[in-house]
Amino acid sequence: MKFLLSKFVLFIFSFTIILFFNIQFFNITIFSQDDKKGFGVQERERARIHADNDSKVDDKKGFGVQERERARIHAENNSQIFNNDFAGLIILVTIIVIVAVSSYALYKILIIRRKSNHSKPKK
Amino acid sequence: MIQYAQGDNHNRSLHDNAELLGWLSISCGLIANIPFILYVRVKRLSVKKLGGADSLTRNLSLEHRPIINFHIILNLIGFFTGIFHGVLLIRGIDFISISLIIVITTLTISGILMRFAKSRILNQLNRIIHTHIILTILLVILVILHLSISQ
Repeated sequence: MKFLLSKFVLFIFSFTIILFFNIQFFNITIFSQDDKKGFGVQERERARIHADNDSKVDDKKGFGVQERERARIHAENNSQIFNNDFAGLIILVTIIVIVAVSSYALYKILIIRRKSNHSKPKK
Repeated sequence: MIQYAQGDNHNRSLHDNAELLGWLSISCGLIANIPFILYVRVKRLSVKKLGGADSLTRNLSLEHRPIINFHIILNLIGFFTGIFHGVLLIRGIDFISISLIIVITTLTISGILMRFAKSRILNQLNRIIHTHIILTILLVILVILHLSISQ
């Protein structure tokens, strides 16, 4: 049983390492990274287009000079707390941990069931 | 311009309310879990040191059902408040929030199944998942990271 357990731990460990190397190699990105205030890349792009609309008179949709100035500030807010690699790793670590814990629970249940089957008196 | 100012105010109040829901969810989690973990530790220690026949151990065992109900109800309130907070701020979703959603949902589902499942095997399986220390550590780390990037 100890042999099986060590194999199980080794499998999970190697699986995690392989997955991590693959992530770094292919540079997988699931979503575009948002900045501190929750504004995404698309949102900033929209703000940039809006800020570039330099007509002196307010445009059709009622955007004034102040509004454009605010959009310009918003568009230039490119702060990123975590880069994509690190943030991507967090979600992967989470998934790996959950899968590992679930497999460990299944393995434990299997051991318990096997033990209880062994302890049953033979007819 | 007035229309925009009103829209801005509306957005700000929505954001503030969503933030408040987040804090409410964290508070529910803290109130529901810290006393419960302490209770479980004390009960285990009491069984180990004083034995099952001691009055303290028996009293602690009698309190088990109401304490677990309190733990479930408050955690469910915290879970749904957190989900609502996430739905309101869906535009600003990031990797850490997604990870947090995955961990919290896993813990909630395993907890519900542990409480209400009839099958003994399913109960044991969910007990192992729900009480695993690694998941708890992951949850605490993710909450801290979520708070640090939201500030």
